[in-house]
Amino acid sequence: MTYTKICSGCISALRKQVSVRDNALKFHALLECPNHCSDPNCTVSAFSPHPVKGEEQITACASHPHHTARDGTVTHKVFDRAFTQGLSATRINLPGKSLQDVLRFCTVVDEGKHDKQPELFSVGVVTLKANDVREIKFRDDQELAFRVYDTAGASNPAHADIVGSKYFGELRALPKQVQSVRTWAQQQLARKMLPTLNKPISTV
Amino acid sequence: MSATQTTVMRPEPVFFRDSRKASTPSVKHTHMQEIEYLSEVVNAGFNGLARIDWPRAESSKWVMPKQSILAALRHALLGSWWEGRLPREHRIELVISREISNYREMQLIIASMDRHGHTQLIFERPVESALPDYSYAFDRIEVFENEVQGWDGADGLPASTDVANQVRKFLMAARKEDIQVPSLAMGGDGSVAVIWTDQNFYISADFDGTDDYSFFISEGDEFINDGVSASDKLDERLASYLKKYFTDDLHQNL
Repeated sequence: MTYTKICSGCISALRKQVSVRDNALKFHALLECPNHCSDPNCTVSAFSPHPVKGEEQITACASHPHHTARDGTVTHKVFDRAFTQGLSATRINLPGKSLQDVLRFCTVVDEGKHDKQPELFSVGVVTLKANDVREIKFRDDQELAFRVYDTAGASNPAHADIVGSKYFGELRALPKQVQSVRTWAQQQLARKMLPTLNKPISTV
Repeated sequence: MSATQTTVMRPEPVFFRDSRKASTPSVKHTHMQEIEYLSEVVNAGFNGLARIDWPRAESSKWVMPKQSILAALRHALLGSWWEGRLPREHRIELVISREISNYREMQLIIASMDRHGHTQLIFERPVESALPDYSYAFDRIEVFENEVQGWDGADGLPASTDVANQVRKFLMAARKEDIQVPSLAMGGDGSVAVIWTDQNFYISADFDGTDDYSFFISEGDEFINDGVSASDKLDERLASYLKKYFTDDLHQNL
């Protein structure tokens, strides 16, 4: 199958320097693009072998205990990031990538935080099927709530991002009636996690 | 037979006591006197209740005239501010200082009252320790408030003082209603979600530092309700689900 690349206008939009918290907003350009650059068959990065296919599994660190419930399960707050900086994920079905790679990566990230937060322990990762992410809809207008883009870099061709399709930014910036629309979509995303791969993994 | 009959709702000694005695009735009992006496007990009870912020009346195994008194008391409260609050935090314990025979009950009760004294309504108000232990939740919001910038390895913000204070107010309101201790989770923008979840329900109240919180209630994939409420209050729709599905209070349906 052949894939089209995003247009030059969208490439420019994605290269724009913005604050980390506004990174997800950049992807809005793809949604508005008349060339349909947000189409799942459209590849975003030249370093990526192909767009993220529907059946692909993507895995993200969900290792911070501040995001978890008392019983260790992941809450919808893990997915706030999809509406701010974009939720980085790894395409574990690509050659040379595995869940263990992601677990190792998350552990390294957490060890980096460990000096500041000695009590921090690693909770684990969340794994989702791309199509499951893409099928979630906002309940107010039934629009698709999330996109999955292949945002590979030269050093990490398996990098992907889960990004919201609207209602970007900090929660307080949204009208109250919209907040629960977004948080409910996030919770639906949490429900799509593949259960066997989302157990707590270790303590640092 | 001089054992004291009481109705005990909970075994834990965690209630303040506030008792009201009715006077000893007269020796001769006409039907009217009996009614007057019960009315007096009811009035004593009602006055006692008026001094308590959040009354709770519970009953079990009531026998005559306990049943009559409690029914009358409840009747007196119908339509008042107390109605609807009765099955919550406080309980009324009626003590009659005489064991009651089942088949001669009314006569014996009245005779007993004459000889041994009083009918007594005891109001019991839950002290702090009777409510769920929310130390986990209060500790966690303190951790969130004292978090460092970049806590999530990215650019994560701690919970602001406004967020933390609003969550605390909300937690106090939830605790007062005997709701189970929730989970707390924080996002990178310092917003905090107070979450109750089990195998069926996922209920979240999200605080962003403004005066109100937004919430949603879902059961599985099904969205049930959402809304916005002042931070120091449990929204009624929210409260109805929490009380039904996230309380350990075995007496909630009394």
